[in-house]
Amino acid sequence: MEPKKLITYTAGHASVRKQLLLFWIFFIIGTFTIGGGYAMILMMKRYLVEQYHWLKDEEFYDMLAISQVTPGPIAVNMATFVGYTQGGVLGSVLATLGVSIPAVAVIIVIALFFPDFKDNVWVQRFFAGVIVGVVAQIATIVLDLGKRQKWTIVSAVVCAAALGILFFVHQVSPIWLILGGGLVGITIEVFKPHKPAAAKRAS
Amino acid sequence: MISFLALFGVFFKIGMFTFGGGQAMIPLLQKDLVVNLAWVPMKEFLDFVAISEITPGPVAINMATFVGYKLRGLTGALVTSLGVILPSFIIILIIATVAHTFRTNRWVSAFLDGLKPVVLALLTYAVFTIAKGGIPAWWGYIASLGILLLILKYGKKLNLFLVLLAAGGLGLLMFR
Repeated sequence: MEPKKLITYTAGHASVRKQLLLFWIFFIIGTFTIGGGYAMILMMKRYLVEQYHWLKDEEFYDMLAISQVTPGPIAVNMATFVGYTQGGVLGSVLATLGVSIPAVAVIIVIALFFPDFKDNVWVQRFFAGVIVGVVAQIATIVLDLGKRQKWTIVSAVVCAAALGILFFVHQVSPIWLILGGGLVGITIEVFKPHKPAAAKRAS
Repeated sequence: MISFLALFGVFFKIGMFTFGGGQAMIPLLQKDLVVNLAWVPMKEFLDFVAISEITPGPVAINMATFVGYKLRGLTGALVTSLGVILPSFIIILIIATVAHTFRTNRWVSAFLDGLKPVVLALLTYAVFTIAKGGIPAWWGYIASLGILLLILKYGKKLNLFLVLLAAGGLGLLMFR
């Protein structure tokens, strides 16, 4: 079977313009997204997959999966990953700075000038409204991801089991679920007949 | 006075070993900053969390900046933010440089395919926890469903930033 080659590389060939664009995209997303890294995923997909066509859907979701199963904030992981594959090391630095600078700046401004920011009733209402939109955006990603998942009995059981554990067993570290899912994948691969090797033995 | 190195260390450690994104860091930060080190009083910590959740950007960076700023001013804020960002940056850079072998290696590929349903479960769970923690009234869920349908129907033509702004405006008018 031809191996799937999903993560493509343009690192090293990226123009300065593209590197600056990477900074700008992540800066915009970092500035206007309230609700943390999850809220940024759909916007990242819009820019990276749909508007600029830098990534295919599968590549984007591969990066999302890796960003989610590695330590650290998902937004930073995504920015570094996309930045590197699209613009080399400088691209990764710029994208990471882009998504981080607004978060740092806004907190310093609030700490300096608006210490009572969160007690303002209008701020609270506005934020509650934004969350309504954020939930819809993450749900969009969930549906899209669910549609693209190759559903087998095993993957459905793994997904259902992970959901069950998340909802009913509190304080479980996601790393155990991730490792569990990965091990299931490896186990299946062990018991799958490996065609090229079998063909070689036959001849 | 708390040294910059100690500040950096706490956030670097949490950035290095916390799986599940910034939200997952909050209980660990609380344990370190409020309980073990006693650098931040509980009430102030909860204020930091509340503000971080309603400001733009990754919650982990918001938290780091806040704690760093309160303890050691502007330089402190930069030190803690860098501390929480660097582990992610380094780990992903290492992964990205070898990533072209990801899908050509049978075992890594099998591992990735195996954990994909778990990623889906984690995102689904995130939708529910964010909704439960942030939507104050039942019809907020209906509004959320409405926005979801709009996004699905109009796709690319819908400006997502305007969607959030409109949702915020709806919150101003409706949530009491």
